[in-house]
Amino acid sequence: MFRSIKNMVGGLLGWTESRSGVISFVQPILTHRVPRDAKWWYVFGSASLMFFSIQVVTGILLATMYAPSAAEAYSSLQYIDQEVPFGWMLRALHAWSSNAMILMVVIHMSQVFLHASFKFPRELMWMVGVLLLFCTLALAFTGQIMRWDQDAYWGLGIGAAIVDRVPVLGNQMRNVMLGGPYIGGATLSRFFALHVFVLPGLTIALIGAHMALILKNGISEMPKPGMVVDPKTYVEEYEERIKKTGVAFMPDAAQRDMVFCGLMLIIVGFLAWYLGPVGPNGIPNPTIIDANPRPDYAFLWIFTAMALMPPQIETAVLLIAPPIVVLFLLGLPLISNRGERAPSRRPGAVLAYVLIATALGTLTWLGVVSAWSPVMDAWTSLPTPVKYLVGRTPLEMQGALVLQHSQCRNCHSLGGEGGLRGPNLDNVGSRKSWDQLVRQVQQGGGNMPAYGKNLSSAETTAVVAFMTTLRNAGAPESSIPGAMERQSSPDQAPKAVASEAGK
Amino acid sequence: MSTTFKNISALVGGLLAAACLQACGKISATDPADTVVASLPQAAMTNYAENCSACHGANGVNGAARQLADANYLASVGRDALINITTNGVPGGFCPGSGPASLAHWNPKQVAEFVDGMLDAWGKNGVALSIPWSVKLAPAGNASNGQAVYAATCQSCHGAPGATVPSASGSVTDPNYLRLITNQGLRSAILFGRPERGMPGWSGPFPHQAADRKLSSQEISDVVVFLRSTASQKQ
Repeated sequence: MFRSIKNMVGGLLGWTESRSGVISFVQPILTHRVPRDAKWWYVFGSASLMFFSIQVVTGILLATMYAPSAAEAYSSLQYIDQEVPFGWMLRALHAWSSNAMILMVVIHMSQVFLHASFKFPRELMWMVGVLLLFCTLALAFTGQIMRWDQDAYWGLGIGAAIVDRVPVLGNQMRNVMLGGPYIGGATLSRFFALHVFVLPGLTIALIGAHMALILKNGISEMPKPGMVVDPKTYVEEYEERIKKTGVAFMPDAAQRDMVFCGLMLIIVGFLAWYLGPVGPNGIPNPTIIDANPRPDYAFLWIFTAMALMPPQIETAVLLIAPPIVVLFLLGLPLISNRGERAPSRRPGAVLAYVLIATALGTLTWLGVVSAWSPVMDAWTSLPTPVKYLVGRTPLEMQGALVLQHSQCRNCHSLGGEGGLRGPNLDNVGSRKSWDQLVRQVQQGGGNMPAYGKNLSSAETTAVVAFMTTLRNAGAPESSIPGAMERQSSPDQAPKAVASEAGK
Repeated sequence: MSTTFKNISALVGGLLAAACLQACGKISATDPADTVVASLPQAAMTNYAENCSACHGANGVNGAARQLADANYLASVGRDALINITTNGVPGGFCPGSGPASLAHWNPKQVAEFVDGMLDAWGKNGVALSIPWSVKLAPAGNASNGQAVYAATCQSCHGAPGATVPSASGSVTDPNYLRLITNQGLRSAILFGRPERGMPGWSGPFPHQAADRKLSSQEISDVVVFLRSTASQKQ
């Protein structure tokens, strides 16, 4: 009986092998030799791959139920959470496994950097890995948009404001990103396409390249002080050592990967079950009271850096820093592809790593706890300073109400109280003209999201009328940079603004 | 190579230190309940400070929105209507209300405690006006009568509709203003005035008018209809 089954399976495999060559293709991959000392340090790459696979599976299942339209996205998430059996678990797994994937990728990259595994002949592996890091982060960012809640709205609004700073092309780039000047249905559609088609496809292709390069160049050994990488002799020496002391990937190294991946799977499964899905956190409308917009953890440090940076250097830093970071990461193995690999012989690299890790960690931690990224209901009821209400017209008083009601003070302070993410408004009427204020409120800019869709033209006019009164007493209109000639009309607003704003 | 790394390390370290210093100087959290002074009972005061004082002012006065520390206003509106407004907010206005359906999530008991606290602290000796407060109980208005009343009692401060020179107290015929204020808001403003800002209510005194000139319920309705007629309502 058993013998006949064994014969049948053997026959089937032989039949398949003789026609496809699949076994002779896979076998050398599974049994390729890896260094004997490649122990627990080397499991993080495999864990990243496992979490990516979980993302693909849970993502496909979610895509069968998620409605990528601005009107339905939010309710379809609630449907998945509440109506679909174990739908909440599916969303929770997708979210927590995404966090875990980022963590594994970062640990994997740290290990490769600290052990200098990127040196000859593995420069390309590092570069492909850097691209995979960007793909992972892009998947996380676009995935956060899929929730289509307040966090998504703010993440997008601030992202669009950053893109908007690019000289000359900024406006067009923002329109391409959002599918128009404002965040709307077109925005969600294009981020959905990125999240489920473009980025996963790219990631799979890059993972393939990463793996092919592993097979071509082999896994690096644990670094030993004094064991110097010399491109002239390295390949020969490595192959000799591997032949002598290496072990087959399957099962020697693979079993450690399996144990670690299994452990991670249990932890992420527990987190998903215990903490549940992430979001959606309130419908996307920036004027809603009680909002607490924060990006996901992976992007919190950017959010903090933006809040702490002096506004004068923001544009310069935002436009110059990312290309430098990208070029540095990609170019690292080209700068240094030979010499010592042991951390003890590379104090500069270790110090740089510790500093960068501390900086990112500190910024993330500040983003979680700090007052300028407030739990927003803490600010909702600070009274407008009385002196700013004396002698104001009825329209300006309504504008003061709009300012309070729209939660402007979550980010802007007035009379020394309120958020510190945006500039204080005490003297805003001296800094900006009527037209500039209308533009700022409607289209956003700097790090401020656009409020054009969320405030009526009357509300915009009222809040701008109020803000133009916030300036040094007696400062002449001509002292305001870029001030237009304002008509003295009984209706406060210049006619052009009133009609243009009337949508 | 190592000098490059040293330079980079120094740069990153400097930036990090600068960020930490910036962070220390920038953190300032204020709990509204610590800064808002209100003469309400403790629980009601905390609720007021966290939800109402932004618009109605620190002690029920001197906010951008209606003064609540006004005994006659509180007496005229009455406990039931105050509970309704506190729970549901002002339809068509900015006040979102604080009831169970709002984001403040006060339960009915909290709303009642708050309103009673407000009546107790700010409503002592208030006299309910004989003129109906609510637009629902007010007579229908007539725009041309309203125009005459406006010209006589309002215009000297608020200016003629369509005037090209800004008026002393600002326009009330600005179409944007009229789009943001409800008819109830207009009626309440005319009836109770804005005492903290020197605007008289229904009983005057009005500039250039006899000292005993008072507005009737009908006249107030007429002015509201007239104001509304000056701007086409787009919303």
